[in-house]
Amino acid sequence: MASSKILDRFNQTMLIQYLWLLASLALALANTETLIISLPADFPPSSGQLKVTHPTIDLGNDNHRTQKFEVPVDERYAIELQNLKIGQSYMIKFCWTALNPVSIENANYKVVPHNTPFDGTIDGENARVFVELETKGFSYPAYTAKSIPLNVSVVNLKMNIPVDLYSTILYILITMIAVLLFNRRVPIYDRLRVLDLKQSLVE
Amino acid sequence: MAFRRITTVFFIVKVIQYGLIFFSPLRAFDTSTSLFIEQLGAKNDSLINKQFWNKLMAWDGVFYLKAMVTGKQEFEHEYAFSMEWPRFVRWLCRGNFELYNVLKIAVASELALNYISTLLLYGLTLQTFKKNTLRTHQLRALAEKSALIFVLSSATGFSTGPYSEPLSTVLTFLGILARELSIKTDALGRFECMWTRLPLYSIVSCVAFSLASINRSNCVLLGLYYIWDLLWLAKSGKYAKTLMFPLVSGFSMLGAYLYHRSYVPFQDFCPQRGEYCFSLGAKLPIPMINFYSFIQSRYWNNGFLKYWTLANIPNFLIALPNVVVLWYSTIYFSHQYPCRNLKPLIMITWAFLAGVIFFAHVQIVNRIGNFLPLHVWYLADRMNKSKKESVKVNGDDMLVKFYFLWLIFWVPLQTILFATFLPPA
Repeated sequence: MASSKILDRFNQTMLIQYLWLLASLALALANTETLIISLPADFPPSSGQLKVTHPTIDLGNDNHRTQKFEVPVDERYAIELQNLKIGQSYMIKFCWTALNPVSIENANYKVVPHNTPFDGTIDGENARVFVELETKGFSYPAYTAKSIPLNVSVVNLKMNIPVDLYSTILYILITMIAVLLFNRRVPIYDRLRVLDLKQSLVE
Repeated sequence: MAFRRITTVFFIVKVIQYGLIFFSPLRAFDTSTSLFIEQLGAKNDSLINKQFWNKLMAWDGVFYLKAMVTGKQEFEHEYAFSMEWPRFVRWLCRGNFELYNVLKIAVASELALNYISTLLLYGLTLQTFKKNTLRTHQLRALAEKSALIFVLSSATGFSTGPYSEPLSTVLTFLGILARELSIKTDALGRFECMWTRLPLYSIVSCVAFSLASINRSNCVLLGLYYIWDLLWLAKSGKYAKTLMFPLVSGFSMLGAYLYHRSYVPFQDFCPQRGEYCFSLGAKLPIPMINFYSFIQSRYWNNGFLKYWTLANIPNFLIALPNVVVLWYSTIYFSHQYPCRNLKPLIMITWAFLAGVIFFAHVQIVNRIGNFLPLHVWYLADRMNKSKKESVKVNGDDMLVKFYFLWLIFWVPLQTILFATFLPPA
């Protein structure tokens, strides 16, 4: 009996580990593209006088922000990221709806040193960080819209996990623990297994 | 008693699932839902929409919702999702195609279809195993356990949203039940089609299987029932029955499938499209290349062994419990508890497994495998046979226990992942 209980616990622990592994690994995404940016510790600090030369996401004092942009199709598009923290890593996430059949290509980031021109603009005081992307229509008949709405998120990574996922992870953990406790109290498998025992004994 | 218990468990599970969705964090991993809502001209400001309804607009549900709201498919890749399910929901909408109204009706229909398929599985189990060696109480217990396991199936997380699988599941169970009711099988597996039941076979089962396969392409495998029946009847020299039962039904089903999956896209996109527009024959308006395979390959990178990469190992792990249990169920009903009347279903399960493992995104087995009742019967039968509390669980039953434990954790996890727009899809 005791060994059976230990086996049960082992099974349940294994299951939780298995499910956790899957939840953390299986990032095969559809209408989402991501890239990771790390700002090295020797990145020059900002002067506080930031110019707005491009579409911009200003993180301010937050650790994540999502902003909508109207992005032209079949053209390169650059977004400046402001107020990223030095020494931190960020996940940049591009999300678009499946109503717009496009693919995002060549998504990358570029660090532009101060006093260096970029797209015909220049900032004499600050190094700038840009993310660039190109949307391409991917459908038949060809997608004819000039632009699509795109949500771009900048999310700080802590322990390699985007901070905006923490609440979901916590919620999953609480639910899994609740299921575990409930199943210990009311073993569903055993209940189902002996479901008709009384009935068959009567017969 | 069984009916009451199945109904109670069904609604408790659904309340828990919808509760998990309601209380899940507002911030989804994929943030495109707001763009989708905006583009379909709906208002996204009420608390209940944000807290609940918006979370159901995830993954492929978006394609179905677009078709439900607009009533049309615009691009060729959208033809991967049949129009039958959207048409059915649009018919229920009675002219009000506002996004949230459509979503609510789709979700309510999904719930109703899930419930109907659970009850149908109960009836189908009774009918299928009536011909085998079970005593009455064992038969009823098997049917009840099958229905209860089905309530907790691995697709349950997805069936909270506007997906098309539950419609195909109802039609599949109905079709199998109609076929079972119209044939007689003896212990050696020899079977007879009864003329008096011809409408049940050639109309009810044929229409149900045809609609199921138009709605979900994987259900075309149900046509193996007709091939099996045809071979048996032809071998016994019953040519009139061969013609009137499986041949007519099989051709009708194939015709309906080809019409929807080949002829319609051929008419809509050819010859301008090129690619698959080379017709099968000079005057036959059906493409030489399978249209469905073409779009699956082009837009979802499906195809022979295309998914077999190191990066997809997690997805194979996600699929593993269902693949193992589906495979074991075919072995079980072939050798350990051979049921001759289950032979065609065993073949369908093999073909389905081969397709999913070698050609598709393997993890979708958790969602689309629900139309097969074989593994549910395997689980229920093993539970039935190890039902005495004193009996130590080992061997096959250990596998069943492990799978069932996995389900208990998987169903709420999958529900949360779906609600927060996290993979797997």
